[in-house]
Amino acid sequence: MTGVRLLLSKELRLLLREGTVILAIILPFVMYSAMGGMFAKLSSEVSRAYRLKGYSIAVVPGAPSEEQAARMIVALLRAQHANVRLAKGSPKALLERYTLVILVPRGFTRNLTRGLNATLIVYLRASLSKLAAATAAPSGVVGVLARGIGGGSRLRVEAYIYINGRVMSVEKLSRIVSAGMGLVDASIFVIFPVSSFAALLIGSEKEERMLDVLLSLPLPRRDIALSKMLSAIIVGAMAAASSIAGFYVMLAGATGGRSASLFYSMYTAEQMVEYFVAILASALFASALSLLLSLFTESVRGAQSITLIATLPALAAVFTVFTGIPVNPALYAVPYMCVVYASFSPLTGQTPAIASITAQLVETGIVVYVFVKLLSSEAAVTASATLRRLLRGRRRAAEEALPG
Amino acid sequence: MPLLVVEGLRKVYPGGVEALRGVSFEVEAGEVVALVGPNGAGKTTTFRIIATILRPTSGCVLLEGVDVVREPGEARKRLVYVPEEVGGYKQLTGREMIELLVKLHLAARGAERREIEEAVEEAVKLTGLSEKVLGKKLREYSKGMKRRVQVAAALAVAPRLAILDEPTAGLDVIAANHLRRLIRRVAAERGSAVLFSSHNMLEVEYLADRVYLIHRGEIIASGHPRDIVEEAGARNLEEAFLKLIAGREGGGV
Ligand SMILES: Nc1ncnc2c1ncn2[C@@H]1O[C@H](COP(=O)(O)OP(=O)(O)OP(=O)(O)O)[C@@H](O)[C@H]1O
Ligand SMILES: [Mg+2]
Repeated sequence: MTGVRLLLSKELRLLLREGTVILAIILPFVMYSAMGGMFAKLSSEVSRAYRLKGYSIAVVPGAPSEEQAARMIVALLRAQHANVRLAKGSPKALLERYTLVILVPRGFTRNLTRGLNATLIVYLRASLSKLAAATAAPSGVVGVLARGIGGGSRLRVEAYIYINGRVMSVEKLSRIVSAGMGLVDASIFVIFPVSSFAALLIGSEKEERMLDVLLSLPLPRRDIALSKMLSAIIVGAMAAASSIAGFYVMLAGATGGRSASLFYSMYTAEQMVEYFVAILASALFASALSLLLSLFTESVRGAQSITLIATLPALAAVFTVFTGIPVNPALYAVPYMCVVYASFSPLTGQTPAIASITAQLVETGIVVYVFVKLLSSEAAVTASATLRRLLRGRRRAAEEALPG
Repeated sequence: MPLLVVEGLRKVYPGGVEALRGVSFEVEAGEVVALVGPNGAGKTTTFRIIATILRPTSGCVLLEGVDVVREPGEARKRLVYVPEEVGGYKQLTGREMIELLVKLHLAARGAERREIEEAVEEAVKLTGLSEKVLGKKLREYSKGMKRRVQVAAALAVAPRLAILDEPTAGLDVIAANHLRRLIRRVAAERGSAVLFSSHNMLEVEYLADRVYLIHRGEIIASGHPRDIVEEAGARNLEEAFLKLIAGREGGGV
């Protein structure tokens, strides 16, 4: 037993004195708790939308024959504490003042009394940053009314969303959102392997004792950086192609062979090009930042753990997709957001896509510059020791600050 | 002007260790020079500064008149460096590793294809390893075999200066002997100067035209091995080395 105790204490010390192991312990908590907050916000938004909380609603009879039905709908919604009133005018004009306009079309009452399906037309003013809520609100209308109308199961809703200056059916919006999500998720398949391969390319130089040799060779440091970035991206692209192809096959299986190309037909050629440029810019950034961070570690394992930092913003990008895509210039500069704006360009327009891609390329340039500078200085071989000493110094200072 | 001039080299590592305290020495073209001294004396630090990997805290290094700190790119074209802890890309075969090192070097000097191919063949011969062994991946190599690959590739490119940090450490008797002869021959035929370190004083006596003894970051003796032995009143270099170090430490070692 002494043997086990001694060995156990040795193994634990080996693991817990490794900064990257500590990082691997802490990161999941940070990540998932951030996710938790986002999901909580998302689900509260969706449930508010479903109960029509926070909407100002106008009910418009489409013909004199429908006035009574319209009044009834107003009453039903009021009974559910909705902020609603009867109004007249074109839905588009009314959307200036109301967030939700319910048009009772000619024939609605007749269909309902004859026991046929009756359709309401719903117009919704939605914001890009609350996409999930936007797609939930129309079914909220059905839900609330169905509870009040006897023949609720025959009630149908045809919903149009007024978003970012354009009107589209809720089906089209959902298709764009799922296509966009798919494209953003696909970028994860690129960014993670690229980052991991880049880490491998620095970590193995150190593990195989080749960094000193490499640095003494007559090669421009820029060439070293470039070749490492490109090879990480090429192999990363292979890994991504395999994941995406597998994913596609899986989806095709799940949707009974209905191909995903239905979704992607919504993108123009130009938008597709923007998407690929965004992915490339992101991959360049991921590889450069991972190479840079890897210089601060001593092994492949250490490098791969520390480069989690390089990929972390990609998760943020994926999460924003769940809640909605805020078109906010401050977000253009967040790494990997260009993939989000390029994927959602049918909704958000071209400006955010171009601006965020440009920002990403500039950031990549800065990281490459710093990396090449580090490679050209002795920091290439001393950075890991320096970081270690800094962390140790911090810990020692903290210990000294303890009373007693 | 000598090929290599090292002048007042000081190195304080980040963290405060003063590894070198004003090291000066010279190497003539085609000369074989040994830097010897106890563990931690500063040999590897000196080599890494000359090889442009570390920057000196102060002092300067001129290689063929090129300041290695200001113009590292130019300096690198003139030197090769084989580190003490020898390694290699384990996914490559011995032959591929040689080709890579030789090509990277000669391409930077603007050599022609034929010249590069000849140098590769030369390096293959210099390793003294069979074609079969050279066809294997480096992950299957012993430490000594990896060292032979790197030293051979280094010498085959005919650098102005080859820096070999403990080149025979870990080599068997036959391989070490082969390598010593190789170093002498390359220096004589190609005019490459060799700056090496070693803990084997017999080897130093055999190889070196000049020896610098470094102790705690300072050069404490220099000269032809024979002269050092004579001056110290010793029977051989090892004894001289021990006496000189003991003198510095004020008593026994
Ligand atoms: N990366 C480093 N960071 C801090 N100090 C270092 C570093 N490398 C070496 N040193 C210190 O510098 C001094 C000289 O080390 P160096 O490796 O140059 O010695 P050496 O003469 O090559 O020894 P050996 O014969 O053991 O190879 C030693 O005190 C060592 O602890
Ligand atoms: Mg050494």
